[in-house]
Amino acid sequence: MKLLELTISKPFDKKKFKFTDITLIFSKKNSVGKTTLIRMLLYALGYPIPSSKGITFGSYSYELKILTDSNRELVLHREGTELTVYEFSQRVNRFTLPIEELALHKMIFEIENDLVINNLLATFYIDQEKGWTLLNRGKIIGNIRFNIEDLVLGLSDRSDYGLKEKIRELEKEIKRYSMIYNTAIYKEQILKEHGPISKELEPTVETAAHMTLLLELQALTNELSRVNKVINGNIRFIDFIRNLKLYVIDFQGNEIPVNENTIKGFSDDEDYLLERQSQLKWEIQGIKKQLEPYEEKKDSKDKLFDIQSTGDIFDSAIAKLDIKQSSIDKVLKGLQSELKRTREHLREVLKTNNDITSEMHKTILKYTNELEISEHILPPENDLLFTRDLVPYSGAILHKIVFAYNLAYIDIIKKKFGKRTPIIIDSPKSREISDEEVEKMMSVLYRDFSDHQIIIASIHSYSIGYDNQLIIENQLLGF
Amino acid sequence: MAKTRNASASKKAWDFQFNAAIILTLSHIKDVDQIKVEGESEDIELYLNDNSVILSQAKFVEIIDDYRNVLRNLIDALSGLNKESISTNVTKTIYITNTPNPLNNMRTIGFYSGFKNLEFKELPSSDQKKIENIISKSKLSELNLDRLEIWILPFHGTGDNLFSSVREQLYYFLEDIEDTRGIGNKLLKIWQNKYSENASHRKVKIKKKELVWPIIVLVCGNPSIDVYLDGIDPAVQSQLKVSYAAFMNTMTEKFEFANKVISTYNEQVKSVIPLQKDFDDFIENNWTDFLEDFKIPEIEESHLEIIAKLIIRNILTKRFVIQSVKKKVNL
Repeated sequence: MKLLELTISKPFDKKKFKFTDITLIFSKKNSVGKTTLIRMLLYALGYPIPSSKGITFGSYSYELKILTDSNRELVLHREGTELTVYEFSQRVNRFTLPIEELALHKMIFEIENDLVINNLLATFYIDQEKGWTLLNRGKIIGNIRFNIEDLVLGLSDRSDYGLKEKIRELEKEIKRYSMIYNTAIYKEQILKEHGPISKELEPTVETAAHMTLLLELQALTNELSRVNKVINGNIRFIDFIRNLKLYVIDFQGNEIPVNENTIKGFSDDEDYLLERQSQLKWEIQGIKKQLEPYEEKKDSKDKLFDIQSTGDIFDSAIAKLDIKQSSIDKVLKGLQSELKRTREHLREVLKTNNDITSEMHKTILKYTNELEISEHILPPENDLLFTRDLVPYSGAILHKIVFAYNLAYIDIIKKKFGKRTPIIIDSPKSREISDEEVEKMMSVLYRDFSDHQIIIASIHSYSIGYDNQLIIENQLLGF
Repeated sequence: MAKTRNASASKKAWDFQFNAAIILTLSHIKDVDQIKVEGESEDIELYLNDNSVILSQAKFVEIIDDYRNVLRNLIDALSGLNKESISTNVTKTIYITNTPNPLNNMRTIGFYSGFKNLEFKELPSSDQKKIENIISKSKLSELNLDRLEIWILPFHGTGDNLFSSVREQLYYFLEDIEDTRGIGNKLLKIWQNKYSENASHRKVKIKKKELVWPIIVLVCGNPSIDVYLDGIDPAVQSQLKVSYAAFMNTMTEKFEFANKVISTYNEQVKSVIPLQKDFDDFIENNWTDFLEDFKIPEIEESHLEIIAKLIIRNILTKRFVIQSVKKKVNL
């Protein structure tokens, strides 16, 4: 698939950007909009890309002309959450994003596999911020995630989705039990400090009602002090404005002072908060009245501990819970080992007798060799793809490894589906890497992937033979 | 013994008068500016925006089927209304009572059951005659029958029963205002409480503003926060609700921030009557722009998104509720 032309418009204004087979988005300075242009390009493709600082993507409309791998020239017209696809000026489909993102991307990338489509962006796009540290799982940009197991699973045509589901369930359970476990530890700590609760000291129905009232009182008091703070904050704000002694002039030439009476909406907000404050005071009064009989009885029979604060009440409630650290620990350990087993099983399934993984290994090794990083200890072959261990790599080495992985992803998708995704790299150079090394990477890219469209944003112009240079001077759009 | 009975009866009479004032106010909410309730003289005065006045006399009977005093009450009330009618600004005079038999006329008693607000000309002719006789006998020359109304507000029993008719009228009033379901009881309690402090003096002055803001606060008090929580693990849902409730409220109430959201919305959305879809679209397209104002340490990005969207929605909803309620009651 190739991206041909992007038009970004607002009423009365529009700007067009043309993209050729090898496009360099170039500016001498940083922060003039290269990254924004690339992100807008992806936004126009239907991805949920978060807006850049100062530019709200949703307030523009986008027209993106693309050429699919089967040579269909499509125009994608995106306006907010609506994306309409035209072919020969005829509307062929309409998608509501993000619900129909998957269907849209299946159509434009011409790949039918859900898992591959869901993980496709990370294979062809390297983001300036997160891209160079993203190896095989994590967030690409915004909330768009990438996961190597999913991608390989999709590429392998395997029906092992059940394993994936099971892993998700187990992770959830473990999270839950971890919380219970922490509570159990806390409980045991309380009991250690206060001694065991003997039967007759256990809270009665009456003390439970008392506790509920105290908790309610605490919550209301907290809320009241929060509201008071907001009221004071708003007063400070309006004092500040009033002391600036600003005046505005209306169309008749009248001078109007800027203060609490003239700022739109301020008195409403103030009235609202004062009423809220008065309601809270009233509710607190009510609870205090209900508490009076308990206060009188307080000394008669002492409970587990003196009930004084919410913290104490909480402790007392926790102490009553029927949970044991040791038994929760057992369950948790069981779940963890089951998760580990399931993960290993999935990885094993993906690794063994899998042409996809071995093909990807080969490609990664080829490029790491060429980029002269294979002498650094890489994980053993069957763990290479799925490693979670990023610690040994840093700086320039990680940068090149990421690059090699991406080339392997793009390569395998081409081999498997015959589809050529564009390759979009936002700033190939980082601080740790030398110009020479970047040149080397770019020449590899140009040599082996010249059948793909390549779009690079940079403040350097590299010696690869780009046929189009989009120079951004000071501002990307100017409207 | 007799004394305590009197005290509780007089407390009830005051409660009736106060609740009658509320019902009269709700019925004239668009025009009312202030209400004065005076226990001694059983007076209720509604001061309207156009400087005119609605006068009312409230008479309470303790036992529903004890009609011995109802005619005396009527005569007293009409005399009281006559005396006050000298002022030229009076546009309406209302006699409000809780007996189902205000004219002590067993033939027309069925006509007055339940809540009623009746103009003089709507009354059964025998009752019209009865009133005309009273007026001529007592020489109530200031009383204009075209402006006289008789209202019945049932107010009997104890506890919830006492207020059931008041509550019903309040519900009718709230029906016209969006999202007020479920606030009636609490609203009534708040109103009663607001003025009970003064009840010992048996004299209160109520501003419309003071009646209206509790409605707004109650409506906004329970924002629907489930819109963005669908499909999320229930454990996470409650965690979000509990952990971030205070933060969300503060952000909603902080003027600088709320104002930024509302002004941005007004710049972008031009529709006069906000539709749910306008809110949805605005939030979807703009929530990331407001993130710089959020400082929550160590929060998952997906949770941050939910919280940000909820805050923006609450701000917009609150502003919309304020505008719409104020407009409906002409505040």
